[in-house]
Amino acid sequence: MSHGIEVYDASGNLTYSTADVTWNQVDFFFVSGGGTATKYYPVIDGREVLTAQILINAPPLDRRAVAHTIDVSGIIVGVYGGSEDAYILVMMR
Amino acid sequence: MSQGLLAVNNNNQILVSTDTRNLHFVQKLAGPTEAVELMDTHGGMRRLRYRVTCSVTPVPFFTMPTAEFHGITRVSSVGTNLWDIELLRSGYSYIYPEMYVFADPRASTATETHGLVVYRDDGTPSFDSRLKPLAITGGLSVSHPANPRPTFPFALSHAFCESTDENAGLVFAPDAYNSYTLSGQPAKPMYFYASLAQAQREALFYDSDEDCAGVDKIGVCFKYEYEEWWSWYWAFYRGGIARLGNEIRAGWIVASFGCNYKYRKESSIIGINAGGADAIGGRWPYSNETLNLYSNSIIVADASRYD
Repeated sequence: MSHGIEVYDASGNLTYSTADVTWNQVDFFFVSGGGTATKYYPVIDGREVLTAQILINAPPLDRRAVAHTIDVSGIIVGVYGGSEDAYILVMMR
Repeated sequence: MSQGLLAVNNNNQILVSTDTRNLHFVQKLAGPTEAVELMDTHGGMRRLRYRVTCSVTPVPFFTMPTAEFHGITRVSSVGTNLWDIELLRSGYSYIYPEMYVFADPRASTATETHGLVVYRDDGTPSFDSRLKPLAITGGLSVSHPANPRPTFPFALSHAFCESTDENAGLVFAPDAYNSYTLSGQPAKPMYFYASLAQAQREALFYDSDEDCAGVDKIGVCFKYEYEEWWSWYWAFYRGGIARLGNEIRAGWIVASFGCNYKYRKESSIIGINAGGADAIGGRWPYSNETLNLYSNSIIVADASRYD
């Protein structure tokens, strides 16, 4: 590597460098079933954003269990329309 | 950014930023804490529970040691700093995935003496090289086919849900998937994939019969019996992913199944209704449809880096 950062542990093993690729966590928050959330993250402006949703409870068999819709627009992340409790993970790089 | 630290790679993608938090390794589980449910029909299913200790919400990655379908179906807080991660896997084998848990650096305490720590403006860590920060090797977005089992191969019993689970399982075992190519995977890949897609399929088998139940002296039927049978067999599916070399498949896992029946019998004597009988029973699903067919993100990383 001619440019960048390399970080080593005490044994001399490389633990992280600017040759790596990752997704950084911007937020990880709860949205209830039937609830909505609107979040503003100036830090994601112009960046590649990845969102994920993890259900908290097993979907019931006696009704429709709809996941939330997650919209990313500029610096706004909107979560809505789901009938189930969920964790929303927002990442960027 | 006017203050702080921002490190980017050659593609100008952020590696470390005082405005975000890197994910760091928290714990590896070599196998599930408990195999909660084992289903040996309908293509097979293993409902596996992994219990982890973590002070913030965990981000789970799993290996796929077999070519069956896998998916994280839920993550629940079950106590102070205790979390249950549920993974559903298709198939019949007892070879289970390893689970690697990541979280932001507040979840771990470093014992290593050398490294680099970056703090946010509130004094909490954003990045700590001593805690094995997550480095990814790839990713892709997948979606699932709308119908897990487009064609039912044979008929089941129409009467009182009498077909065995084994036979019903042969009818409902999922066989549809979407295929993707993901090259450049490490020797021991691990995957983040949260299953959202759900589908329910049902199949109605019906029959009716009319018999003469009474004949007079000259051979004319004066009493008729009319019977009808309905049996609705169903299966409930969750989305999963499978790996075959560089191929990633987005398919389905049967999470539950059942059957519901109805029976009706009527009698008539010389055309006059003489009564009858009805019966219903079984378990009934919510509807015959597919839900949550969103595009799902898969993140891939090298598990051997955290062994």
